[in-house]
Amino acid sequence: MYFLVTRLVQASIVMLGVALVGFLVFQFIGDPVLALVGQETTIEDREALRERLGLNDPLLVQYARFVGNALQGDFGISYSFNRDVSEMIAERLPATIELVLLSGVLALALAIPAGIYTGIRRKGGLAQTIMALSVIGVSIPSFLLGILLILVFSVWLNWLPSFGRGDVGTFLGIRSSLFTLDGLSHALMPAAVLCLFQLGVILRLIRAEMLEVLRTDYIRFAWARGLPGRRVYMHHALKNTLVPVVTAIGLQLSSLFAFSIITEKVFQWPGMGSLLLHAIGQSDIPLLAAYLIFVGLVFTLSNLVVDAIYVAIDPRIRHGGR
Amino acid sequence: MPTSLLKSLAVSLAASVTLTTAVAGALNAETLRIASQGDATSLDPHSHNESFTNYFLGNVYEGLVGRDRNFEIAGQLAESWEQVDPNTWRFTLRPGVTFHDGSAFTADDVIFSMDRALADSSNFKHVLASVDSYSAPDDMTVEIVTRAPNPILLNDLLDLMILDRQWAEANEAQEPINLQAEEKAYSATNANGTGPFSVVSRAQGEKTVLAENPDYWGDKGNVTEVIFTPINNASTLVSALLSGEVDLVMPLPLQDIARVEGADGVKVVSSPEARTMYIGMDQWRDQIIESPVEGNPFKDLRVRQAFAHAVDAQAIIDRVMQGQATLATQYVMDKVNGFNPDLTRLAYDVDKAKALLSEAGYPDGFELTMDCSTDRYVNDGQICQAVVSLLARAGIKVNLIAQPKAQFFPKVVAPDFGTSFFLLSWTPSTMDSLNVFQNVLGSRDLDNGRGAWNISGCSIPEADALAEKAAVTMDAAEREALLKDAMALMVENVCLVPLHVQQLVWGAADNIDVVQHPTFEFPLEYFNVN
Amino acid sequence: MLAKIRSDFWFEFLSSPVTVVSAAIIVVLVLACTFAPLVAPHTPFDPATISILDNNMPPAWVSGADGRFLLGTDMQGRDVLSAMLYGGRISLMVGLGAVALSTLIGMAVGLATGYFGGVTDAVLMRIAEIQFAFPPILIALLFNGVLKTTLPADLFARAAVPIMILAIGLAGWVQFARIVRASVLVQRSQDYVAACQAIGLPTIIIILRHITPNVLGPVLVLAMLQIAVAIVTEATLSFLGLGTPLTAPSLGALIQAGSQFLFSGIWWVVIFPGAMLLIMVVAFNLVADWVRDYLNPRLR
Repeated sequence: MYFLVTRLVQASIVMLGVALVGFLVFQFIGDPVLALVGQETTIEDREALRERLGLNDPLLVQYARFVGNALQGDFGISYSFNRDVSEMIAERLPATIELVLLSGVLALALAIPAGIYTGIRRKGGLAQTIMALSVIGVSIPSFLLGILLILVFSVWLNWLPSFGRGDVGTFLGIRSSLFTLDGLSHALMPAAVLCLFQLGVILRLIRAEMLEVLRTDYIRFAWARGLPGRRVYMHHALKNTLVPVVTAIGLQLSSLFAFSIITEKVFQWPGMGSLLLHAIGQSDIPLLAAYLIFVGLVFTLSNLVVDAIYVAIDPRIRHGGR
Repeated sequence: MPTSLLKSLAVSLAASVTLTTAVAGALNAETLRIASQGDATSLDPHSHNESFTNYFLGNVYEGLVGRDRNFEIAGQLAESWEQVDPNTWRFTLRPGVTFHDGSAFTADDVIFSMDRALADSSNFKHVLASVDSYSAPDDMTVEIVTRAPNPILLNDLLDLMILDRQWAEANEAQEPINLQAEEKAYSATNANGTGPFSVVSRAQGEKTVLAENPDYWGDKGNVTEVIFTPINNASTLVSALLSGEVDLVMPLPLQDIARVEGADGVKVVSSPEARTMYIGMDQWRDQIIESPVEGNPFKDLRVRQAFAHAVDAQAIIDRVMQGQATLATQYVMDKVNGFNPDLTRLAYDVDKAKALLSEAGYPDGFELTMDCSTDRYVNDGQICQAVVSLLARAGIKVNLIAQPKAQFFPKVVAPDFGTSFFLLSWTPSTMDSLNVFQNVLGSRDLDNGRGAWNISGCSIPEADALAEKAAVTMDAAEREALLKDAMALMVENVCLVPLHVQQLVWGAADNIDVVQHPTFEFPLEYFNVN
Repeated sequence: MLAKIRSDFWFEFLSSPVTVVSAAIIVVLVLACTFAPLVAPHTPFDPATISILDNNMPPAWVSGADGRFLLGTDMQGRDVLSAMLYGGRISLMVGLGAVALSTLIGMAVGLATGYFGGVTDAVLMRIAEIQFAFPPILIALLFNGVLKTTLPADLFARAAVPIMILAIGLAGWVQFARIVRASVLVQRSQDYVAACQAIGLPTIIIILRHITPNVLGPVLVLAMLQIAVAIVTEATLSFLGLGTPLTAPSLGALIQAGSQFLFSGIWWVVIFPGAMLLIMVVAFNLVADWVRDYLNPRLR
């Protein structure tokens, strides 16, 4: 418990820091008024608007207002969209979540069997091929892969749509584009691009863990006892590789979230990432500040959850050792 | 998690449920799927004066007057008008028109919309700049009194969109931007006009769905539903057209013209656009900025002429614009009233440029900085790079600052005018060159609304006088002569270096009929799906 | 570990043809890019030597090509091969610079926390842990994004390379700090450290002369892997428009500019820089893999 409480305190400090960065960003920009009213407004009108927006107040007053509003989930109005920022984030979030989930599942479903296989048959031809491909997988920049996939599957073969999110369906009360055929066909290429890097990383991690475990006395004893191969690999070896793998997956999830920005850009996926890039391109400071704070919150929370899982599965941590 | 975020999530989910039912109900519709590189920045017709936004909203909202299929000014919400005296115009409104929500259109809505266009946060105050007062003698009549005779009042009124007073008041959208209490502006995301199409759903930057207005008063084509998707990557845009995911791409990236022309089932549609590109040189400051040079070389006419001679505008047209532009001789294109056919441009001649620079005291050229947007005009970043390498041949070393428009405009426009060398362009939305004199060419006089876009700070008082005279001259021929003379003066003084007049280039599926206007309007009521 | 190269180094190295080829590729690329002004047939970043009339020329072996441009020209009339060499120079500069920065910070933090422990350790490692939760590419992206919206465009363009080194370097130090700290903890409990302390050697000498050489092995492996990551990160930032300016593009910016033309039949402006980037990254990754396996043979 002590461990988790420390973590909670730590998380709040992180959030305060992130909020400070968010506010500084919010403050630092040239002229939000110009972004709001366009170029043809007279100087007096702009000054009047500055006053009304509270941009002439002392910094400290503005900071207090910023934090107060942020606590209520109010990040102000986007300069370029003229809309509530929190509303826009809520609108874009489902698209990013479904992309991250789909590619996460794809990565695991492919990486675990491939990792085990390459760990066991490490000199085999297929295993060597998989490993060679995995080097390319972790090396190829995702934007480049995305462009090439569009070129091949959309332009040359015309099999898959090149951009956007497909139709949305409802299943068990959840609305997602993954529940329609059209939606899946739109999601396939972005998810494949997004998962490839994680696929390579997790595959190599599992293989390395398998190699380590297979050398242990524990496994040698299992062989010595004459147990069948399948049982040794699946029961004894795999079980022991999974603990470090599970912890790594927690980190990979946040990394998927980060890489989704690039994938969303390439495939015009209407998620949080394209929103961030729009905010940067348009100097839309409220949007940028809100994104910073929101992502900080998501990562801090997900880290807390991962920590809680550690505590649950590893008794050593519960007793203060780490 | 902040509660309002969750609440908005719930609201947006509910909104998308209604969206799917609406789409499902319109299966037999003639759907037109349009993709463009940008999106309308707001649904409020008085908030952002940006040409794409204005013309997008022109399908939803209407003004007293508008453009017909042949680009002539015709009555929209006004059925007819007469000039009672040189300063007083009386408009008779079209009877029986309703807004999309069913409420009736009356003169009160016109008065409300004019008030609103003059509000603090409105970006359309200029359309009523010449207006002294306005009133509604009865429900179907509006009277507008100008300060001085205004021969182009109707052109000015083209951009004034009419909203419903009850709807705006009920939704606290009396002003274009409602920032008080930090509430979102309802009219930025919702619309209620009288136009041929109504907004069914809107996810900005993602997808906007329009449906035909069944009660529309005028004629319209067979398009019943419009799905509009912004796609900001040029190659994605074209692949969407080629793979049949969209029916119309506007504008079509120039580098893809050949590909679209060679493909089956799609075509390229093009016509001249009223947008003239030019490069500007700071003639205002005594010391140009962001340059090691002493003083301001651009105050010397010979230096400005040298720049004009050094830039091979034809090469830019051939190579950067893929031939989709024509050489500009002046600061408006030939369809704009006030175009002077007698003017010619300074020929491309590097030796002449070098000689002029030597005469002016810069035999080895000089170094300066150029500001350029990369996402505003067709191939703007590339045009600037070409200008940089062309000027290098005349000994001018240019440091290029290529930046997104969100950074470019705040830097170069009033009040700072923070540039000494730049690329810009202008479309006179009134199709009258007076608009260019008021905004771009007239001596800076910001208090009186003149020269707000005169970033080069050039000032030819004689031309100002001619333009001022034209502004109040009711006789069309006399007025045109004045504007032509004023233009000749500006060109003689090389106020700006004109580059080219670009073509409007769209890519469309073969079964789509479109109407192109030189101001980039896209009146969807004239479009057809065959 | 690294201080004395094991006698089997060259044998092991030469018996892995993939590694030899990769290392050779790295050497060639690094030399070609470093000496780009001497090697490249044109000077693509000097506008006076570019002619817009030469633009969009295909590679030399395609019909309609111009012999002056081996791999064709881009939309500005720049020689693609020369632009790749100059752009690769920027990519390598950012990659190496960023990793050097990460290594420096990471070593300093790792040595300090590992050797001294206590409050230093608690505070620094908490910070490291917090940062570790945020993917480096996101940190670099936000760092650059914030600077891009706040700095004037000309300043951002002129300082693009240092800004990216800073962004990527600051985003990547945590991994170095963690492995260095772990190695130092092992070394610290060794008898030789106690002996050094007993004869009164200054702490700084103990750390620099005796402990540092013993943690360099894992640092080297990580650094090699991180160079590949940093090059990809730089390319990605430039692709997203947060990196190098139009007038002096890195490989990523070249690919971004070219990708607008990909479907127009002007494939050479994307395919060649893309291939060069991929080859560079794969080569660094393969060599790093081999060094890791060499230092830790159990993983082979």
